[in-house]
Amino acid sequence: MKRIIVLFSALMLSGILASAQDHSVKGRVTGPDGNSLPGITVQVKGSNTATATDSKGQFELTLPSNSTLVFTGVGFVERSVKVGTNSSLDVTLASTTTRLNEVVVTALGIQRTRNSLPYAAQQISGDDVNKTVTTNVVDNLSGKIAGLQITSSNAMGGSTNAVLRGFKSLTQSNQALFIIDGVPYNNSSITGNGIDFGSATSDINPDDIASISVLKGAAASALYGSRASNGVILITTKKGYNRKGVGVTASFGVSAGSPDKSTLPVYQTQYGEGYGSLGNYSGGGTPTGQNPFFLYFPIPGVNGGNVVPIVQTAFDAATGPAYDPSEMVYNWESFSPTDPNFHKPSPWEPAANHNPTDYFVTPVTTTESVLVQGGGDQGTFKFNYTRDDEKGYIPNSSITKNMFDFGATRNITKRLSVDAALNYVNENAKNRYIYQYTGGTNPMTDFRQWWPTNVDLKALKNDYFNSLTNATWNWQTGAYGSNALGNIGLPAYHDNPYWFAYQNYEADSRDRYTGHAKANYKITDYLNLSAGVTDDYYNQFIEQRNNIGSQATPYYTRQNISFNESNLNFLLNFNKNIGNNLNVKALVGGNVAKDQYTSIFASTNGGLLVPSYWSVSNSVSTPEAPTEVDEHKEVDGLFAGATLSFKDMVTLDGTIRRDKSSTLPSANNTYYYPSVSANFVFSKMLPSLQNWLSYGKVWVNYAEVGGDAPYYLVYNNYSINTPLNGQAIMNINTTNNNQNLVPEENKTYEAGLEMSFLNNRLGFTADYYHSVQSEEILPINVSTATGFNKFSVNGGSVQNQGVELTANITPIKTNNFSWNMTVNWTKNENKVLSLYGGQPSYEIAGLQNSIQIVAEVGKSYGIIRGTDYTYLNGQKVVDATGHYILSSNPLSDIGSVAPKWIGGLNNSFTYKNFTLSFLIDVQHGGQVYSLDMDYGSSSGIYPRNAGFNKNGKSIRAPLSDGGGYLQPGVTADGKPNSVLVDESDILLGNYTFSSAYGEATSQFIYNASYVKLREASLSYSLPKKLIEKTHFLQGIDLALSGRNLWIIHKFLPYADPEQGQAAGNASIGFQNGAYPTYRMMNFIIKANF
Amino acid sequence: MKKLLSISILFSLVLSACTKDLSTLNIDPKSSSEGLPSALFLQGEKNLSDALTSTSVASAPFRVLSQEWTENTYVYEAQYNFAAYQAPDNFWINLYVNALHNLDVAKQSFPIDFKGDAVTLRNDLDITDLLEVYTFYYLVATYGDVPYSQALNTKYPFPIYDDAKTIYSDLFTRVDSCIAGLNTTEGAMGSEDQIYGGNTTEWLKFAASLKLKMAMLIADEDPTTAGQEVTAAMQTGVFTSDADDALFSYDPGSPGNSNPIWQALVLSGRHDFGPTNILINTMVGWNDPRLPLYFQPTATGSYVGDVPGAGNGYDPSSVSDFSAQLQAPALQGDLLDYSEVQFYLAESVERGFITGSAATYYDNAITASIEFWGGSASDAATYLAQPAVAYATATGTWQQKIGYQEWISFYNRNWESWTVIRRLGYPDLDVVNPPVGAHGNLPLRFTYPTKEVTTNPTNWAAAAAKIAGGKDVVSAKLFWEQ
Repeated sequence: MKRIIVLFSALMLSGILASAQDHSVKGRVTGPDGNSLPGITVQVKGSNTATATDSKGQFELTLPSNSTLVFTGVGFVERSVKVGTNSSLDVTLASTTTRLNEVVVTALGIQRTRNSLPYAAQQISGDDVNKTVTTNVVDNLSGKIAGLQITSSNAMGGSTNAVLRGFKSLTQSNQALFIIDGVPYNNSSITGNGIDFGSATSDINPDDIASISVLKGAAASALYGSRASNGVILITTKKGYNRKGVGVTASFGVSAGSPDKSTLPVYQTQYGEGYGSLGNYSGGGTPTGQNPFFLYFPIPGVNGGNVVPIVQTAFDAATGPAYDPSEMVYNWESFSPTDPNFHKPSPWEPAANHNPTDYFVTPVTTTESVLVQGGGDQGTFKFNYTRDDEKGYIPNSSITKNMFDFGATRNITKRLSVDAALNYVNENAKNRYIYQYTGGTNPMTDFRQWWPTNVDLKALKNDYFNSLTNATWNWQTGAYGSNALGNIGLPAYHDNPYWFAYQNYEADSRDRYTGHAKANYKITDYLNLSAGVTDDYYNQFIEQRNNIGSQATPYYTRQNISFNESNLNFLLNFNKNIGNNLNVKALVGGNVAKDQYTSIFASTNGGLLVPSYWSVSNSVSTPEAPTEVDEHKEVDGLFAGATLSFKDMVTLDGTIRRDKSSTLPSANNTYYYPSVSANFVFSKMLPSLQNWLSYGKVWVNYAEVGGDAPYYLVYNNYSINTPLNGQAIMNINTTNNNQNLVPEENKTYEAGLEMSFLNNRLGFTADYYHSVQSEEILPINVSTATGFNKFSVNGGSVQNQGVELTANITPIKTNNFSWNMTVNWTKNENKVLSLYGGQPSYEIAGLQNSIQIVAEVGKSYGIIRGTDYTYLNGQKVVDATGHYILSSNPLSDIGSVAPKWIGGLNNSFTYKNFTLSFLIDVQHGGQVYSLDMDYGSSSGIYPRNAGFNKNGKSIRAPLSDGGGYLQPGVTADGKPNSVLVDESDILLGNYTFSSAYGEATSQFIYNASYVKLREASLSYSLPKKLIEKTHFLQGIDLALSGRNLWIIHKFLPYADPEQGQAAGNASIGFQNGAYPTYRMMNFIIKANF
Repeated sequence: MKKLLSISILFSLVLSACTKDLSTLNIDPKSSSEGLPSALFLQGEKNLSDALTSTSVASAPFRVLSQEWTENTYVYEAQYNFAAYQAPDNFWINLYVNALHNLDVAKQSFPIDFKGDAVTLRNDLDITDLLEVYTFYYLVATYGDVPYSQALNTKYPFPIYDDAKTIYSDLFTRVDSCIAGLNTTEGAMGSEDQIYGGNTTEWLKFAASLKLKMAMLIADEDPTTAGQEVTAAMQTGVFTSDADDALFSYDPGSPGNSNPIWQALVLSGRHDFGPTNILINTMVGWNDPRLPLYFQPTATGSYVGDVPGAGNGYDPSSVSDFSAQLQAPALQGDLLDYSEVQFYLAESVERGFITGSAATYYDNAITASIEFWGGSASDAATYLAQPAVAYATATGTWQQKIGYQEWISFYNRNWESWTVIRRLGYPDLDVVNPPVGAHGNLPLRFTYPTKEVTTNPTNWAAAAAKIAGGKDVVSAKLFWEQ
């Protein structure tokens, strides 16, 4: 870090100094509509001298006479203009609705025109992702890039997965690599104790993004080495610009949300809390004539000491007594000392406030941002400050973020220039949402799995705040007689959700510094040398707590994490025209990447001594030694590349990289990645067709990529554990490591076609790719009779092939009105070709209810396995008693997480200063297992677990009363089932819902398809004439937008099919405690001064 | 030029980085690359004790299978349903990965840099091997055919399953080899053995008692071998008092090293279990002096149990809770004890393997159990004097008499209490007290782990085909179950 700060300070100082130049030119750049274009790069051809236009589209530059200026900008056709000796120059740029001659940022930040791009790369502008307020800008890429699958979390500050072209690795990360101005960003998420601490990309400041370029295939990203094997998302931030004075852009955004009700549970309201006829078995039994679904105990001082009917509060299930408001019973409130109903009965009926929305609060996020840009002849600078305040929808949850970005460039001599940037992000979070099943502490698992409707959330809130105790709806039976003010029992399973939010919240903070410093030296007009360093460093501090009075053993834990990645780079570039028709580009470079992750975790042991005192020393037993992690790695790379372009029509490209990684055994730690690419702009051969064929290009490429291993898979390790009676204990770790590992291999080829028609009003890009990842390094599951759970091996190969399609249509274009449509469509087919040792399947994740997510040879990655029914002609088979017959294989294939295709449709309408756009995001196919629906069915909370049968009787009424449930299916001879099954008393086994009681887990597999109105925005720029009257304002933009506005179509009941489990390979396909989707409405105002 | 110079320095730095040796970076500074044999031994010994002491329905649901305990709310295992928590997977992992593997690595490491003499080394190896044999006994008696000849060997990531009877015969050979090898004139390891502190005389008695225990399992199936092994065990010398008991000392000062029962019932704050009506009613009916040693009375001072298989809830005021001594963090893990040995000897008399009085052994066994839990000799005498308890007058065959009493004595020997029912047929739970909502009869074995089905499918399928009935189900009889 230090070296960046030093260099950065030097730059800021030197930027103040100015020196004279021979010839100066001023000018203004306008678009096809005559409006000024800010942020256009103006470069002297064949030199380093460059600037950018200011907010009025103006520039000023000193340059040698007879120079040529090149004007480039995202969304506009590149244009070269000879300056001669002119001192003023006005230039109009044509917009590239089809982005044909647009400059694309490619690997190592090298800009290329479309004509010379022999691989798939898609670029969008910063405006495309910062129209709506999100705390992780990567969420806003959803539906906008063909081939990119984004899965984001509905939890505050949760992780976002970004996977390009399908899952390639069975066990290692499949996340695309993010590179921001040359600084690699590790997008791995941090999780712990069921909490998702978010992915590091949430530290990217959306307001600072100029453009995002997505390099999808191996050929495009080969120069970055193995870490880029999952594709690269290159983010270029805004630069300062050269103008008199400084430009200031200030913006303010606010967003607030409301829950999408279709992603929240709906409950049955016929039956309340309890577990069948327990009254018959518990305590003194059920008094004659009374309902055995209640308990009967005497409560001291109540009803003269005679037994009273009590709700089975220890049972977090709705398989209890039928509601009947005429029955007066002792509900959970009757044992909560500060409740108005303490020791009083109340009518047996659903509570008024039993829905999760009665617990949630309105989430509000505000964002303030100031961007200052400026510079002089000799350099530019920018400074951006953004502050986010996010309040989550779970009570007492919040995230505050402060982001500072500095960047500067400086031309020291004609030949030497330097640039540097330093970003600092500080984040503080409180009460992040738990995503895992943690037994009564995750409010969403409570609401979706164990929530009887006789529980009133308002009462829980009042009881918590009135007593500041864990006044719960889930009392142990023993609490009925003993609960008194100041002395209440512990819950059976579930804390009061308010107790949990205010007493047991986690808190964390992170300070992150990223930066780069780079020097560029122009040796000759065709040879350029650059060298620099980048650094990404963060410190994170996480505290978790569980106060005395909670159901679980009280604890306090703290974890300190630090991460550092540094890169040392050099790059020598050659670029020369040979003759009139041939351009030769070549490069040689090197990179040393080092990273280190360390953490230390300490916890109290056996409980807390004193309540609300948050220190590891506040421990009942001696705390165990802290857990330490220290992972470090170095990869040294050397690379070279050459590009030949003939007449800007045919381009041949070849690269080679050699990496040496510390995570592989010395004998096998060096590996190579070659790539070759070619393209042909065939429309140049067909000038006669240009009336209708505006552009046509084909490309093909082939690349091989190597890959290294995760940390420490070569040598076997032993762990030392807490001593027992003073004696050392040590265990051998459960993974058998491997001193013969070799690098992973990936071979990819790609072919593409890009065409546009009718003056670029209609265009498309289509490509096909085929990649095979082999020699995958994975900890394969072995028979545990080996004494190990896993062996580290090379084994497994996975194929991905697919088609990506992007189309642009401009159906209407007039002076004042235009309508643009963009369609992105991706179909990826994944296939596991082979696995280590001829194994038929590999378990990616083993989940609750014996659900497995596996890779199975011959099938796509992510097959869901569980129990299934037996079928006859596609119908479930029942036995003579009307019960389903389950398949004898408990690991039947019951679903697949892989979508058939994904797509996005963006429509944008512009009328004068108004722009209206909306994005529809589609996933077709893919499946998800809902533990929520399975567990919730076992506790009988959903409408499917109650209701009425064809006799008009409740399905839970005894068969003798006409009740019973007809399981849809056929008998062994194919006749429709007509035998009702008894659902009247779960305690006696008369209950069939859920995989715990007679249904297969396949019952809870749902189609994960969706159609969503992801974004809609209306923006308005105040007319220039109005603005100019103010004399200091240069522009005001207003935008009103919404995110996740409407799930137009889905199959999964009561939840968002996109919601997963944090991040990583096993995060999709399984829902547990799914957080609801919130419709977020945003308003942003942006002013330029 | 200076800038050029600095750039070229950077350039050469990058180049030199490409030639250096990076492999040292790949050594985890926070793990040990060497294993200390005595520390590995203790880990294996502790993990073995944990596996057998555990109350977890996810790995050791034996207490609820034998109906000594039942589940309060989430009733799966008490109804013989293992799908939810996969006990067969985790019991297997506890034995192979957590116990056997550490013992085996210790066994391989002991000879390296050994400081003592050859005799001590041999003693250390024999003690370790005895614990391995003991562990394999549980595997074979729980699952049937299991990986053995290719187990614990990295050459075989997917080992074959060996025939259970063949393994069993080899286990006897290994015990004999340990008995021959243990030299009681010299010591072995010290406090790293938290059962006997390396006392070779005690380990020799343990070896003999283990042999007796193993013989009892096959007494119906192969009475000839069983009889021979019992005689041989008697000659070597089995446990003669509770002082010989194989008890693992937990560390109450460290929650993770405390007795797993305390961890599950006290530390966790959960109340997942209650005692059953059948156990409590049987003990109440016979005025068992162990009642207050096993349980706490309810608010009204009586002893009341839960209904197996029903969701009973937790209410210590109306249903008995577990006794304080059962829930003590320092309670020792019981691997083999004198009471158990005396029951086996009573059985051996009835089976004609040895001569003597079955009644005497029966009385000794019950007296030892009562004293073990803190009762007195006179409590035991009073108890045994009752006609319903006295060996001569108690109801039923010798299997029923011994079965019921062994079941009560095995209150905290959860796998044994399940196995006594499998061996002797008593208490005949399927008849006298089938759980509410039971999925079939009492399981006679564990199915193979689902993880074996997915990772080792070929060898699993071959083993499954050999099971009686050809299916990997809990109702299939193992080779010794007649």
